[in-house]
Amino acid sequence: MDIVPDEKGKLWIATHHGGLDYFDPVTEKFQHYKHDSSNPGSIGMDSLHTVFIENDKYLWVGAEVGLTRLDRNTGKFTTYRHKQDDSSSISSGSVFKLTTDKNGAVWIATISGLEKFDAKTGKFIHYLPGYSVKAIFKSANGDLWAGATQGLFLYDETTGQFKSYKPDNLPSGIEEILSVIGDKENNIWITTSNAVIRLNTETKIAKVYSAEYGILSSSWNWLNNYLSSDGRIFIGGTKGYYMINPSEMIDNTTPPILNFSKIKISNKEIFPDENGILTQPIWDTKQIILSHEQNAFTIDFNAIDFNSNGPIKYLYQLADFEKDWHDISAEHSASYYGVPPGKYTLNVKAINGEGSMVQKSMEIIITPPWWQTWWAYTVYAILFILLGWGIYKYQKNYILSRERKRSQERELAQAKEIEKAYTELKATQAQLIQSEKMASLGELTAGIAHEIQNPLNFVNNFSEVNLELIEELKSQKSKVKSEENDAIEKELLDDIAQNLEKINHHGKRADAIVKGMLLHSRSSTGQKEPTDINSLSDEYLRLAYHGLRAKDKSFNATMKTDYDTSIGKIQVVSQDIGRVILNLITNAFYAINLQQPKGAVARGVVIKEPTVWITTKKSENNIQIIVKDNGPGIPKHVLDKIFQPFFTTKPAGQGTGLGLSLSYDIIKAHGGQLDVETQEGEMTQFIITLPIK
Amino acid sequence: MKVLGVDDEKDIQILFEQRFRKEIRENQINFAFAFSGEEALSYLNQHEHEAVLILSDINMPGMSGLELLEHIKQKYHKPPPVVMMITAYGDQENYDTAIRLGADDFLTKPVDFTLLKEKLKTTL
Repeated sequence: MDIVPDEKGKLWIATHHGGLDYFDPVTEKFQHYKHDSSNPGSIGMDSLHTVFIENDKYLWVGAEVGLTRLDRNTGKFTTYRHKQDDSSSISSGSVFKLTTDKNGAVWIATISGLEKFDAKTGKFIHYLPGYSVKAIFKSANGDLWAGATQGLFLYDETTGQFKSYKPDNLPSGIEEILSVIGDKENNIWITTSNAVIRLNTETKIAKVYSAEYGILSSSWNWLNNYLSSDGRIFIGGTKGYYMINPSEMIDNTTPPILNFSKIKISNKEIFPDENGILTQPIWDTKQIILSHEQNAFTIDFNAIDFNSNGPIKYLYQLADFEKDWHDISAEHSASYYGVPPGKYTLNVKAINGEGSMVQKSMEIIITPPWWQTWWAYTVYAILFILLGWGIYKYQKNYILSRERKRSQERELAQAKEIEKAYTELKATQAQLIQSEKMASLGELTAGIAHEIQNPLNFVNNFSEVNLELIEELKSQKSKVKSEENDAIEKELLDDIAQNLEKINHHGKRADAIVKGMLLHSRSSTGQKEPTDINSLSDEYLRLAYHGLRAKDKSFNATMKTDYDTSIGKIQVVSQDIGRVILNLITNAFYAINLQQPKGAVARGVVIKEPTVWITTKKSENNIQIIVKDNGPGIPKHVLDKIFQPFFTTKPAGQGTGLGLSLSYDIIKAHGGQLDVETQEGEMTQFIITLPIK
Repeated sequence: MKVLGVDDEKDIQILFEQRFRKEIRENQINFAFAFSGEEALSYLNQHEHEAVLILSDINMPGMSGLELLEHIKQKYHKPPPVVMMITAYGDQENYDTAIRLGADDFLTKPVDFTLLKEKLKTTL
């Protein structure tokens, strides 16, 4: 049952089974509001718990099941019931208490949660769902408190949520809350199933009034607590009211005296000792230093209180090791084991029956084992750095040696490649030498043919002539002998003999040419043999001349020879030296032909008579073969390169570039030297110098 | 008549003298020899007024037979001597050049002396 007076002093009474009554104390008459199923505007139910006047327009009635609202102007009720399929309907079950917050919104405490009524939409917003909320209370400063079986909650406007609230001296909180009301001294009074608790919302200190204060538990008519206009608080029980006058509740504010009393390490009590853990009695000790092996310890403490009649409660916490406080009620020792090395503070609180509290702290340092000390870490760091450095060095060396090996392999491969290339080059060179030889032979073929044809012609002609002469001689023989005839006969015979000599001469000449050609085309035997340098020079001069003529009909040149007949025979590899001479002469002819454009002769323009000179000379120790031409000379920038293999000034395909290089090698092999003298626009001469012995 | 043989092979002289021994003995042909183009030109300069038939080889060191031909045909107008070219290379190019330069005839080595005698006789 709940009774609430209105503005006019009339009383609204919510009855447990008889509906809502409105009582006028002056006329002493009741007005009854009962449920009438035929009238939708009648009160929604008759089993009621609480009544609450929101304002002059609305009055709310909380029922055993559901909620109903009276429009005080029309006298009509609107009933709110839980609907299974509508999440914005009021939560199911009993409604215990209603209040408005500082913004005027209606809050409804129900058995299955706290509801906020949205007046605009007529919908309910759910808080603390599933909690059995029996009390909702707005304190003088506007704070909204909710008391539930599960604890005390304070509305946090910033998050829009209810936060669990625990007084400082009751870290485990207040449970089984039945009712919350406020007094005029910033206290809220909380009725629980077995105590009345006064909570100072400023100090956050709670004072519990229970059996020792004459509070008999489990006998509440818990819906009927209220603050009277003179400041007294009435708490309803089954056998009457507890009346509390908060202004008369004088607290014992002298806190207990708290001290540490004993320390046990590994269950062994430690006594003060000059060199021990304790140098003074523990109650005078501010700091205890333990080794990492002494991290299982128990510290006892004790509080003495002369004023309070209630029991002393203890709380402790090892700060930096744990967050929560241990609520140990009347026990007074704190045990820890396995605490890692570190710096901690043991905080102990003692609270007497009056709620006065004292706190004492002790610093407990657990030193790390040597392998966890700073210098150990320094050593680790150094070792780590050394290891890292070692690995780096090793890696570096490994990579270096690997790279070295690779580059060695590469070099080796390159060397092999070079060797291979060198071998190939050698083979190519040999091939080139051979083809150079063949090329020069090819050049000579026409010349050689001509050279052979001339002597052959003579052989043929002279033998034919001889036949004629012999015929003539025969006819002379048949004539009568006379002196004239004798003279003719003698002349004929002389001619025949001369012709035979010519035949023989030209036959030998052809033979020599063929031999020379064979000699030239054959691979060099490398055998030195006595060679007539003059005839060798002459032979190749003619060969070169005719070879060029065969190729170019317009070619012509004057050849001047000056042979030193005292040279005689010199030991040389004749085909090699012959090749050098041939090469030099061919070059000379090529050079003089350069400044003699084709057709120049035909036009009668001859600037200078193109001439090649072959000169042989003998001195004391050596002989010289000089091949000179009056061609354009060799430019300076070319002069350095002429002996280099493959260097040629001839148009592509016409010279191998090996001639002078080979010539140089041949002369070197003979122990001689090949020199060149040139004057641009004037002449070039190559001088072969060969030792006599 | 005077025939000038020009060839760098000196044995040509003996050969011609024997080949034409009858003609020489009967004084039908008079032979002179030059062993290079240059020598031939100097001979012609010295014996300007003699009626001359020139038999010249083409391939010679120094002045070639064709150059000699060119000189003769350009410079010796009255009367221009008959020039017969003889070459071992019986190729078209040599032939064409010789004819262009005014050669009267062109013979190929080995010389067919019977044919040569016929030609000389008709020229005479």
